[in-house]
Amino acid sequence: MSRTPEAASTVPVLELRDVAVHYPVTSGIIRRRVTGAVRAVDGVSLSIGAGETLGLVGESGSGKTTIARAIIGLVPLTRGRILVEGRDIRSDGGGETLARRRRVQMIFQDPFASLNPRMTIGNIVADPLRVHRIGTEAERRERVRELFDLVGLDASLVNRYPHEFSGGQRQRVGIARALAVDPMLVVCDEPVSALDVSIQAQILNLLRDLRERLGLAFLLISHDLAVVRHVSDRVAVMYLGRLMEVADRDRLYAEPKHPYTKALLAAVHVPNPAKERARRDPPLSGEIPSPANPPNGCRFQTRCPLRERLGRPAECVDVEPVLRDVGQGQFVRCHFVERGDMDSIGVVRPRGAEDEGGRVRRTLDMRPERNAREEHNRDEIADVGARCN
Amino acid sequence: MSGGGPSGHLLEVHDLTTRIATEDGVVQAVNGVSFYLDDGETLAVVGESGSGKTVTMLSITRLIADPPARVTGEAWFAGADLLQLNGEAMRRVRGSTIGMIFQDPMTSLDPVFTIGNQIEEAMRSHLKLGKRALRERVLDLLAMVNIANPDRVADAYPHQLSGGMNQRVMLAIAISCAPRLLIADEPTTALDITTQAQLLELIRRLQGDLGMAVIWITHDLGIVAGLADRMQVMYGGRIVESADVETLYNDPLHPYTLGLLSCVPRLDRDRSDRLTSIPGSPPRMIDLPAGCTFAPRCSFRLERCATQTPDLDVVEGVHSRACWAATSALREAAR
Repeated sequence: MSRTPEAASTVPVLELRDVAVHYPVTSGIIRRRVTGAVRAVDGVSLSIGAGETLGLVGESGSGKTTIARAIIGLVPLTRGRILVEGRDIRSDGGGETLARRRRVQMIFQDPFASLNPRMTIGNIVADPLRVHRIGTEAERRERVRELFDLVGLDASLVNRYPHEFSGGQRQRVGIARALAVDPMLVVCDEPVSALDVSIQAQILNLLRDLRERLGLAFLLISHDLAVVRHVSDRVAVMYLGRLMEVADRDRLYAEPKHPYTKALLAAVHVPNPAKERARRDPPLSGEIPSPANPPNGCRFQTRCPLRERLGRPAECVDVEPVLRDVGQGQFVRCHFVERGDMDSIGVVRPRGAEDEGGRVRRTLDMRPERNAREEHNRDEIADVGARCN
Repeated sequence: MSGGGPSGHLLEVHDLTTRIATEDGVVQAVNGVSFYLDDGETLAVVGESGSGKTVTMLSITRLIADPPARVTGEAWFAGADLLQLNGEAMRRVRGSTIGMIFQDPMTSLDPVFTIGNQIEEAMRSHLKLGKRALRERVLDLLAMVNIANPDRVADAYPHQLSGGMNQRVMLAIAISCAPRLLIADEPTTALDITTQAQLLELIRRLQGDLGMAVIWITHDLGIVAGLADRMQVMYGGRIVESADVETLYNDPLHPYTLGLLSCVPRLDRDRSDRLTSIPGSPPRMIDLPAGCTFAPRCSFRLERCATQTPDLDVVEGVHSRACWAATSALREAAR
C-alpha cells in the first residue's frame, strides 16, 4: 500500500485509512440482485492536521462528494477506517460516537435545499445544540446570538424563515449551524458554487476569517481550481475514486506533476482576453469513464496525454501506479512522473516568466495525438452500448 | 448578407422592456435595453441571476408567455421586427435562422424520443427533406458536433448519454438549419471543466465553419474572454457597461464590472489573502431602487445616484457605460 500523505508534524484531526465506498448496482424487477458495484471511492488515504485546510478537487464522478458523505457518516464504508482525532468514528460506543461526530460538521452546496423551510433560522442554528444536549434553552439562545454575530447575520433576524433570505445569507445560516457545536473540522461541499459571483467572495472571506479566529480545519470540496487555490493549504486531486496527486498548494499550482492535474489546470478559463485567445485545443478529450467500470491499470490511462506522448506503454494498462512520494510533500500516482517534466512532452514555460518562489504557472501543450481521440471514441461507443443494455 | 434592422445590423434591439406580473407584484425584468449584433460577430452578455440577461433573450425570441409578461420595444432581425411577427412567422424564425442552446440539456431534451428523432423534428418543420435525407443529415450533424458513433447515438435516448454528449446533441439541433444567430445561454455551466473546454472549442469551430453570429449569456467572465468580440454587462435589468472585450477587461469603467473582475479568485494572478467583495446582494426586481440600481452596493456612490438613473453613454468608440462616477476615480481604483 502507498504511504499516507500526511500533514507535517501535527496530530491529524481527521484521518482516512484506505477508505472505500461502493454503491451496489442491482438489476431485476421481481427479484433484485446485486450485479455490480459503483466504486465511488476506492482506497483513499488522507489526513488533515489541526487548523489545516485541505482542498479536494475533481470532476463529477470522481468521488469527492462521496468522501464528504462518508466522513459525516451518511454512507457506510465498504472498507477502511475514518479516524477523528485518532479514534474510529464507528467502533466506539453510541454516546461516544455522537460526541466524536460533533467534532466534524458540514456545510452544504445548496443553501435553498439544506435549510428546513418550516424552522426559523434561529431554531435551525440551535438544532445541533439540542441534538447534542448542550446548554439550557436560555444558554442556547445566547449561543445562537453569538453565532449570528460570528457569521455576520443580524441577531434580530432569529425568528425569520429561510425563504426570506438571499442565497448568501442562507449560506451564512448554514455556516452558523455547522459552527454551533464547536467542531474541529468543517467539511464544505462546493460551499459557493450555488451562489452569485458577487456573493461568493463574501462567503470565501468569511470562511477564511472563521478559520483564523477559531483555528478550524476545513475539508473544501470543489470543482473550481481557483477557489481551491484561494482557500487551501494542501490540495488533493481525485479521479474515479482514487487520489491522483496530493501536494502543498503552491507546489501543486506551480509544479503539477500528474498529467490529470496539468490538464485540469489547463482547462481553467481566466478573465484575460490575451491569455484566452492564445489557448489551443482542449487539454483532454472524452469524459470521465463510469466508476462502475473503471479502466484497467491506471484509471486515467484512457484519457492520458502523457501516455500518448510516450507511445502508449503497456505498463499503464497492466499495473495501477501507487501514490508515490516525489519529495517536498508531493505525492503522485503515475508511473512516468519523471518523464512528465521533460520539455519534449510538452511542458513549456511561458516566455519571460520568472520563477518567483514557485508561483509560475506553466502553459501546457498537451494535445493528444489523433489515435488517442480514436481510442477514446471507441470507449465512448462501448460506454453508450453499456448504457443502452 | 443583408442586415436586419434600420441601421443595417443583423440584430438591433431598441428600448426593450419586459414586465412580468406575479403574485408578489410586477417584476421589472428588463428595463430599456438597446444593443446590436453584426453577422458573424460574437457578443457576450454577462450578469448574475436576476440581471435580466436571460429574459432579454427570451423576450427577443418571444419565448416568454405574454401575459403574464409584457414586452415592449423593437427587436429587428433579418428584416423584421420580431416583436411584431405573428406566431407562425415567429416560429419560422425560431429554430431556423435563430438557434438556441440552454444550460441544462436534460430538461431541454424529451426523455421519450430518440436523439435522432429530436434532431429530425426541428428540420422537419423548417426544411423540406425526404426521410432518407433527414436521417443522413442527422448523422452528419452528430458528426459535426464530435459525436463518435452517430448511428448508435441517433437511436439512443437522452438518459443513455452523458451531460456533455446531450449538450452536443442540443447544439446539433440548434445548428440543424444553419442559423444566422446562435443564442447560447450558459451552455457549459452544468458541465465538468474538461467537458466545458471541449464544448467551447466546438462552438467556436462551428461558428467559423457556419459563419453564424453568437450571443453568449454567462456569469463567468473567464469562459467568454477568448470567445467574444464585444461584451455587455447587465445589472438590474439594464446594460451598465458595453465594450470590445479588451477594453472591458483592461479598462472597466463601471463599478460593477470592476467588482466582478476583482471578486473572483483568479489563477492568472498572484494569490491574495482576501478577495475584494461586492457588499450586499443583487436587487429584488419587484421594487428596484430609484436612480442607479447598483448604487446601494456601490463604493463610488455619489449623491445623485440615489435619484437619477444614469444613461448608457458613450465613453469612446464602442465603449459605453451607465455611471455617474468620474472615470478617473474608477481607473485609479482599478490600478
